[in-house]
Parts: sequence; structure tokens; C-alpha cells
Amino acid sequence: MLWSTLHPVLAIPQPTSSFYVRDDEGLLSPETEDTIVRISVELARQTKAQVVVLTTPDFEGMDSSEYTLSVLRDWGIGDPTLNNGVLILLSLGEGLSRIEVGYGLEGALPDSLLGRIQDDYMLPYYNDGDFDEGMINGYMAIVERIASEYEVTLNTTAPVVYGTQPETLFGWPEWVWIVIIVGIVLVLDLRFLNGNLLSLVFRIAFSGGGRSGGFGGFGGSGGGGGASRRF
Amino acid sequence: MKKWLIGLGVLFVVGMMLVSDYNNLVSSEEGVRGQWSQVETQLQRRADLIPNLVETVKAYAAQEEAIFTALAEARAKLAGANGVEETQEANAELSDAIGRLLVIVENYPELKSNVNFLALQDELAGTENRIATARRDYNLAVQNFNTRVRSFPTSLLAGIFGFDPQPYFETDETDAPNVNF
Repeated sequence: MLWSTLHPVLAIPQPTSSFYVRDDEGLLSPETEDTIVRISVELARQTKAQVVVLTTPDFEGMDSSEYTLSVLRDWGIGDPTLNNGVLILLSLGEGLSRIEVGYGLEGALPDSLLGRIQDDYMLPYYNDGDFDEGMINGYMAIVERIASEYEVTLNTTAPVVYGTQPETLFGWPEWVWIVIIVGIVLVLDLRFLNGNLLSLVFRIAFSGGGRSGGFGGFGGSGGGGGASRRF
Repeated sequence: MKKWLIGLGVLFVVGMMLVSDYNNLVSSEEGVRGQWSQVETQLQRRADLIPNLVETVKAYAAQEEAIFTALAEARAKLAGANGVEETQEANAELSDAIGRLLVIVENYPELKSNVNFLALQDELAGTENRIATARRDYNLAVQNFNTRVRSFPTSLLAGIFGFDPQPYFETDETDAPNVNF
């Protein structure tokens, strides 16, 4: 029992290229997906808060809250210091709706409010099989809350900009830079230090033993706040 | 002359490794402490919900005195608990009492649809999740720390400076109140 809680299965889905929507159950219309991406990009631009929508047929053997928290932390939804991410989950397969919030938005979006948003804006549609409408409704309610928390007005007619990475030098993605820098260090190491630096790195990497996981990725984290509804 | 220098160099490197090992132990132990305070915060958060919950339920089911007493006692016990083991025990009792309260609530349909009660139920469920999360994070930190303390050669250092393995926070998951959806 203890060991299973220490090592949650990490077979969770990965983010899509648009980051803000992953519709594995095919419940959302292209228009809804576009709207979500457009508004989330605009929200993130102004507040760094990230609102992500995910539909999934099952929870990989985890319970719903463990699953959503794993996704929130693994994807790093929200800003790494503000922890202001929100994950809106819909699973027709499991008959479950859940909204998970990062630490930083627990004040603006308390559990009871998240429960009520689902009761008022989403479940009435979900129960009629109109998942598309229910999702966009609930999504908008959440986004409005966040926008008013940060006192910003969203320009929701801005064009869709895919990708979540902020502009980087020459427009190259971050990993290209990492590869280049690591390569330079490696060449210098082999040329001048006989590879000592490399062996030191190996020693550190393999001496740690059971140093597993760590909390959160490069983005925001949460502590299990949120609310769920069956439908 | 040269050999003497090499000896000094080796000593220096070993010394640096010991210092870095020691510092790792310290930060790893701090990690355990930090995660434990998270657990305590979340347990406190749940305990703080109890009076409100009791008030709301009382308005509809005043005659269920036994459960209100049990809740008050469990809450007091948790407030007075010291250390991982006592906390674990008191927490299990409070979980059990909340579980029984929620079973009783099933008999009062009006209460179940009360807006206040619904909100409290969401807060309670959210808090359960937060406790579970804090507990998982704490156990991970403990696992990390204990592995260090027990691995050779750090174990020698840990022995000298008195770093002891820390206890895991275990719960019997079957008696967690069923407020999770």
C-alpha cells in the first residue's frame, strides 16, 4: 500500500503542441478547441496563469484527484513560482468531471466554488450529452474568475498563436540551446580537463540512489486542491 | 616532496566530498521537515472545517449527538498530538468520525441539498486530497532521506552526526472518509 502511494504510475498523457487542449475522447469541436487555445494564450500572456483542458477515457489506474494532480505537476501547468495553473478534466469513460487548481489559485478558486461552477455551468450540459457546450461554459467561468483576480481584461479576439514557449533567441526552442551549451562544455572538458568534469557529473548522477521524481516539473505545482463531480 | 603533495590533495578531495555529503544530508532532512509541516497544515485545515460542518449538520439533525461528541474529541486529540505516530493515530480517528458523519447525513435529504453543506462537502473533499498529496510528498522526502542515511558511506557520516531514519506517514486508506467523488 505504502509503496504504491510512493510510486504512482506515470503513464499519463503528454501535452499536445498547443498545450492548452488535449481531447483524447474527441468530445470537443474544433471551434471550442480554438477558442480555448486562443483565450488561454491571452490569459497566460497577461497573468502567466495557464488553464488547460483534458479529456481522457480513463485514469491509468489512479484515482481522479491523483491523476489530475500528476498531470498538473508533470506538465508544469502554471508559472513555476506563481503555481497558477488550472486543469479542467472531463472523462466520459469514467463519468467524471474534475477541476484541479495549483497552489497559487486556491484563493481565487476555492474548492466549493469549483464544485458550484461544475454544478451550475457544466453538469447540466454534460447530463444532456452536450460536452462541448458544458466544457466551454465552465472554461469561460474559470477564466473570468482568474481574469478578475488579476484585474485584467482579456482581448479574446486576438489571433490564435500556437505553442506556449515564450519568444527565445533566434526563435529556437530551448532544447536547442541546451544541446549547444552542453556540447560546448563537453568539448572544453575533453580538450582541457581530460573528461574529468564528465566523470564527476556521472558520479553525482549515480550516487544519489533513490532520489526519485521530485515535485513538479519546470512549471507550476499544486497540492491537491479542486473539486470533482460524477455525472 | 611530491608524494606529500599528492597525499594532501587526496585528503582535500575526500574532505570536500564529506562536506558535500553532510550538506546533502542536512538539506534532505530539511526537506522532510518542510513536507511534514505541509502535512500538519493540511490536517489543521481539515480540523478547522469541523466546527462549521457540525453547525450546519446540527441545524437538520440535532439529535445525532453521539457523532458530534466523537468529532469534537477526535479534533481535540489531533490538536494535542505530537510527532508522526500520534498525529497518524489521531488523524485516523478524525477520519473515522467524519466518515460516520457522512453516512448519517445520507438520512437527511434536505441537509444533503443545503447549499452550505454542499460547499462544506467540497472543501472537505478538497482537503482530503490535499492531505493525501502532502502525505505522498512527505513520504517521498522521507524515502529520499532514509536512503541517504542508510547508504554507504554516507551512513557512517549519518551515524557520527546523529541523522536517524524518519518514520513514514502511513494511513489505512479504507477508513479515509468517502468524500472523494
